Amino acid sequence: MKIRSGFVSNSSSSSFLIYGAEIDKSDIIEMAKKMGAIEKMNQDDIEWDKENSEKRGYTRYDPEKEREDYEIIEWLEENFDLEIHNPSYYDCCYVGSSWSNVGDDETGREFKARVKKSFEEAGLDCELSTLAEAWRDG
Amino acid sequence: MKIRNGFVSNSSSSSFCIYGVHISEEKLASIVKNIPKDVLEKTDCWQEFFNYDGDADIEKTIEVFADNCDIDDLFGSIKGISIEFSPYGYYIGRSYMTLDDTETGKDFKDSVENILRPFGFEKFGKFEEAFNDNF
Repeated sequence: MKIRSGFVSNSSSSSFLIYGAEIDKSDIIEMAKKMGAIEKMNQDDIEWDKENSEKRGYTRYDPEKEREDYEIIEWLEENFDLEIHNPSYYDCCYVGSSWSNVGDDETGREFKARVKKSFEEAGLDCELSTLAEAWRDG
Repeated sequence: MKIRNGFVSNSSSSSFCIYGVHISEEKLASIVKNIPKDVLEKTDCWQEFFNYDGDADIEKTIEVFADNCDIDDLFGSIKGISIEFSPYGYYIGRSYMTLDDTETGKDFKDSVENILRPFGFEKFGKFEEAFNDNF
């Protein structure tokens, strides 16, 4: 049997195949802030403190704390059924949902509509398409 | 909102997202040698080979075919099926990019399994991988 030679060498690589859009990271952060992401994250921390700070011995809420971009992106992912890829040293994000998330009873068209709805709920108004990308992490 | 049209600068990488099987070279070689004749006869690659050497002993022809066939030709000739190779073996299946608007996720998975099971493949799943091409 002929086996192909010239293998690609493995490395720490990341990839995705999503239905979504490529958006400037600064636009996403700005949109999240307009939606009250910071206030909601603070509220989440206050509630966490009520339940956990005594037994854990520390608090999360800090009114002076500056939120990092990655925290805001994680908050968006957790609250709007979206995945957001932000390659290192790259100032844009790939936002959407992996094609492998298509449900067994869901058609391709229904999947696209579901992703579009998640975008609208997150305040993101843009044209969506299938995006595939891979990059080295290290 | 500004939509970016660029791409990641260090992206000399291969990637894929398929539903199918992940299989070692050794296991794949074993499967190819044992593909039922009626299944092989439905593939374009086999048709070409068989027609070229049509008078040969069938068992011997299958053996020679298995020893000489090109994996890409064999599985790449099956409509909708793609084959990806990596340092960890082969990934054979269907890219999620080909899932169409009227097809459900289950239809998509069934289409892959219906094609590949007769060859002797099992343990189907989703595979998403990336490999650097530059080394």
